[in-house]
Amino acid sequence: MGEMARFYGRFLTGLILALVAFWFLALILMPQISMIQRAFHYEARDGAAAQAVLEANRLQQRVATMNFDIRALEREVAAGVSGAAPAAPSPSNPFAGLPSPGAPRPGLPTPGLTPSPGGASAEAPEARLERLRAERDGLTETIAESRATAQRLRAEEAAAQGWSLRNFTLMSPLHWRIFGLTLVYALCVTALSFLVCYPIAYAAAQAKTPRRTALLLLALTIPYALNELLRIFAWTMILANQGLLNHALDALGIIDLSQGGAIRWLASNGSVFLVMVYTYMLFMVFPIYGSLETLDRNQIEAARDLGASSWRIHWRVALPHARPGVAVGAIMTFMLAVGSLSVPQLVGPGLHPDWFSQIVNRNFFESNSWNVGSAQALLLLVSCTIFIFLVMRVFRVGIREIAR
Amino acid sequence: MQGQEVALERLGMRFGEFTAVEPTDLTIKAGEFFSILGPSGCGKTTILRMVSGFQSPSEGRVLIGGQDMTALPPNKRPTALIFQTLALFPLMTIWENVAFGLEAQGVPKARRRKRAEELLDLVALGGQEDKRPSQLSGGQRQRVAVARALAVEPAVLLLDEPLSALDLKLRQHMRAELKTIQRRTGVTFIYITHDQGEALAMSDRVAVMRAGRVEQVGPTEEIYNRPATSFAATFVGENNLFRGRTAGAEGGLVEVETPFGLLRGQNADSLGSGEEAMLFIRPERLAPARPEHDLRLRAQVERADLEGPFFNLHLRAGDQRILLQLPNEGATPPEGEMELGFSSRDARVLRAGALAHG
Amino acid sequence: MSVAVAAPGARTPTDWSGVILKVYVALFLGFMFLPILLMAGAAFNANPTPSALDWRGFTTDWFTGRTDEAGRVIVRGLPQETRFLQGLKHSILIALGVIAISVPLGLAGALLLTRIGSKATGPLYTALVSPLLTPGIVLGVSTMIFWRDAFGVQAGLFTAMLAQSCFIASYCMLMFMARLQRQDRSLEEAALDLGASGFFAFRRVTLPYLTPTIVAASAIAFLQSNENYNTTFFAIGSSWTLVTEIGARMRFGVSPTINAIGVIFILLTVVFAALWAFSLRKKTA
Repeated sequence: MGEMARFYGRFLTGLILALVAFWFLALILMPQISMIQRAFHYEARDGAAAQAVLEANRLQQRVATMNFDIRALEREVAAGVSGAAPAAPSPSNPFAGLPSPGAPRPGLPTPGLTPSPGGASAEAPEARLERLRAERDGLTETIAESRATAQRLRAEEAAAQGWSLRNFTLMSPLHWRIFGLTLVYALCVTALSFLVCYPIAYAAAQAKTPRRTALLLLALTIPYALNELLRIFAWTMILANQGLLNHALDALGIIDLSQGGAIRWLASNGSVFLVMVYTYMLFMVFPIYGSLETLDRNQIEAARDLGASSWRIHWRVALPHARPGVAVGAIMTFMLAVGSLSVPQLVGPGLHPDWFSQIVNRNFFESNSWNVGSAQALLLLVSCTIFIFLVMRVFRVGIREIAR
Repeated sequence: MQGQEVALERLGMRFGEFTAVEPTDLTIKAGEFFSILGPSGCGKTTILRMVSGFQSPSEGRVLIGGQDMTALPPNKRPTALIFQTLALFPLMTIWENVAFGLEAQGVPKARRRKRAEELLDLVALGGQEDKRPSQLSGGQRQRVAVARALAVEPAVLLLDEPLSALDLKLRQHMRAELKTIQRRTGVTFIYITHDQGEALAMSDRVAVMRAGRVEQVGPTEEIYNRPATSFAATFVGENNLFRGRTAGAEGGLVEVETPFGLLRGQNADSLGSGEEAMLFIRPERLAPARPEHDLRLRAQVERADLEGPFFNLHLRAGDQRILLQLPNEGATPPEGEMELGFSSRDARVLRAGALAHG
Repeated sequence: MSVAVAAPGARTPTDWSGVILKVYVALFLGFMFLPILLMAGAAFNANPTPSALDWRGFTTDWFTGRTDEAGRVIVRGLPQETRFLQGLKHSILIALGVIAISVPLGLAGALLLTRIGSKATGPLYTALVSPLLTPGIVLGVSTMIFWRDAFGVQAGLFTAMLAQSCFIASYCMLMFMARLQRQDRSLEEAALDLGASGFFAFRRVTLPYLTPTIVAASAIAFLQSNENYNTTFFAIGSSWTLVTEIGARMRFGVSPTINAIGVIFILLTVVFAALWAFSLRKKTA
C-alpha cells in the first residue's frame, strides 16, 4: 500500500482506494448484509396477535355505536317522548358509529330524517336501554380480554421476532422440495450443457485453420449479441403448441395437429432445460475452448499414432487438459441456471414445475414477504457457494483460474 | 549539468528473511564513471533502485551532493535511470519521449521541442524526432533513452545493464559512445552490469559485488591486477587457480604447498603458515619456461584455440586445468608435454573463499 | 500400443470421429441460428400471433404501425408501443450510468490488485470477482433491500443501475487486469524517474495505454447492461427497461412487435460486427 502511494502519489492512491471501498462496501457487502439480516429476521404478518387486535377494534366500534344509541335512548327517556321515531340509527347499521356525512352525528340529532328501523320501535325505550347497557358491559369485558390476549400474543411474537431461523424453519415442505429439485434441475442443465458444448469447444480449438476457429466462434457469439430474452422468445415460438416442432411432427405424420394432437412441449421441464442450455451456452463453450486452445495438437496426433481410440484420446488427453475450463463452465452454468428467473418464468409459465427463483419472485412481488424471500435468495447464494467450493475441490483449480 | 557525489551510508535492504544488500558504505565521486559489477542476484540492481528511489532501504541513507535523499520519491531526486528494457513510451514520438521530463515540469511546447532536438543531435539522432520508438533500431533506441534521461539534467545517471539486449558489435560501439557522452556532460554515471569486460572498458572505478556484499572497490586496473578476494579474482577476467596450504611467508611473498610442489606469490591477505589458500596466476602471465621464471610446472597441451592476436592454450596436469595465453608470433603452437614458468611477483595468493563459477 | 499402426503407409481408413464431429458442428449451427431466423421471419408475418409458419402475408406493420386517415390505430406497431420506447430510453439511461460507474470501479480495482504486491490481494480479488459468481437474482434482491432499508430509496432506475454495476464492474476489472499485467512496469517508473508526479505519469503513460481497454470495457458494460434481465427485474421496482418490458409482454400477451425489436437487434449486431471487422482489417493493413 505504501509502495502504491509512493508510486501514484497520495491523491491518486486515495481515489483508487475510495473507489474500491465504495464498490466493495456499497455495492457488494452492505446489500448482502441487508439481505442476510432480513433472512434471519422473522416478520409476523396475519398472526394471532394481529387477529386479536383486529377483533378488539371491531368490538370497540360496536361499543361506540351502542353508546351512541344508549345516549339517544337516554335523552328520549328523559324527554318522556314515547312512540316517536327514534333519533338514532340502529346498532345493526354497521356504519352508524362512524361520523360520515350521510349519518347523523352524535349531539346533532336530525329528527325525522332517518328512517325508522322496523323491529326497534316495538320495544319500550326503558327495556331497550336496559338490554343495551347489559350488552355493552359484556362487550367491554370481552374487549378487555381480547386486548390482553393481543398483548400477550404480541409479546410472544416480539420474542420470536429479531434474530431467528423461522424464515427457514417455517418454510413449507413444498418450497423445500422445490428448492431441492431446483438444485437437481440446475445440475442437469450443467451436465447437459457440458455434453452439448464440449464437442463444439473441441472443434473450435482444434480446427484445421485459424479462420475456421474464428468463424465458429463468431457463429457462437452472434446469437449472444441478441438479448437473452429474445433468445428465449425465439425458442418459445418453436416449442409452442402451434410452433415449429409440432408442425414438423405433424408433417412427419407422428401427430395430427388438426385433431388437437399437439404436444404441449412448453409444459415440460425438458423445454426449460433446453432453452437454458441454449441461453447460457456461451459460458460453457468459451472457458472450455480457452483451455483446449492451449492443448498442443501434436499431443493428440501422438496419441492417435500410438493407436489410441478417439474416446481414449478425449478421456486421457483432451479432457484432463480442459479441466480448468470445464470447472469454470460448470460453475458459471450452474450459477446462472439455479438463479435464472427469465427462463422458467417465460418458457411455459405455470405449466412446468416451479423453479425456486419463481418462488422467490412471488415472495417479493406477490405476497410481499421480503424476509422470507431474502431467506430463499440466501439459500440460492449458499448453494452456489458450496457448488463453487465443491467444483474447485473436485477439479483442483484455484479462484484465479475461475475468473478469467 | 554537473555531476554530484553519491554516498551510501550503511545502506542495506532485507526482504523478510532474505538479505538482498548488506549494510554498505560506498562513495561515488562527482563526475565519475562508476560500475557496479556482479552476477545476477548479487544485489546490484537493488542498490540502483535504492539510489533512484524506487525502493526504500530497510536501513542506512543515500546522499546525493551531500543531501539526504532517503525519504524522497524518485521524481524528487536529481537522478535519471536508464532501464534495462529502456522503457521508451511506445505511444509517443521520439521527441515527445525525450521531452517527457520537461513536459512534466510544465515547460512550454516550443522550448521542449527545441531542447529535444538539441539532445537528439548530441546522441547523433537528429532528424528522427517524429518517428516512434518501434521504428528505430536497437542502438538508436538506446541513444533515445540516454537523451531522454539527460533532458532532465540529472546530477547522476543510473544505467541498469542497458546494453545487454544489443548484439556484440553494437555493444562495443555503444560502450565508446556512452563513455564519450559521460565525458562531455560531466554527469556522474553509475553503471550496473554483470559483464566484466564492459565494466573494465568504460569505468573509472568498479565495485565488485557478491551475495549482497561489496567485495572490492577500486580503479579498473587495480581490480584486474590486484583482486582482493578469490571471487573478484575469478569473476573479473580469466585466472588460473592452484589450491593449497600456506607453508611460510617472508618479504611480501608467501609459499603455498600444492600438488605441484611449492609455489609462491604475493601475500595479499597477509597469511601466516598452515592456512587454506588459493594462488592465482593470469593466463597472460604464464609462458613457456624462461630463465627469469622462478616457478615451473610441467603440463600436457590438450588444445590450442586461436583467438587472433594470441592462442588460448588449454593444458592439463593431473586433475588441474591450466590456461595459458601465448602471443601469436607466426609459429605453430606447441604440442605434447611442455614446461611452463611464471614469476612469483605476478602470482597472487588469497585466503581460500568463494569462486565466481563453481 | 501397436507401433505398426503408426508406420507410414498404414493410413487410418476413414476418421469416423472427425466425420461425426463435423456433422455435429453443422447440427449445432442449425440449433444456434434456426430459432433466430424463425423469430426474424415472424416479424414480417401479418399474423398477430408471432409465427413463421402460419403465414398470413408479408407486412412491415409491426415496425411502422398502421393508422387510418382519422389517426385511429389499426395495427399497433413499434411507434404505438410507447412502453417499449420508454423502456428503451430507460435502458440507455441505465447503461450510460453503468458505464460511468463500473469502468472507474473496475479500473480502480485492477490498479489496486496489480500494483500492490501484498498478500491481501488474494481475498480482495475474491471479493471483487464474487459478484460474477453470485446469481443475478441475489444481486438484484440484495440491492433493492439495502437501498430501501438503509436510505429509504425505492427500487427504480437508480437501484437497477447500481445492481448491474456491481457485477459489470467485475467484468471491467478482469479486462483491465489482463491489460495491466501485460504492461511493462518500467514505463511508469521511467515517467516518475523523469520527474513526473504520480498523477501525471498515470495520465500521460498508463491511461493512453489503457484507452483501447476502456473503450472495450464500456462496450461490454453497455451490452451487459442492456441484456440483463434477472438482476434488473428485481432491482427496478415498478419502473421498467426494454428487456423487462419484453419479459412482461411475453407473459401477458405476445405480439410480433417483439419480433420486430429482435430484427432491429440483429441488424444492429451485424452492422457493428461489420464495422468492427472493418476497423481491424484497416489496422492490420
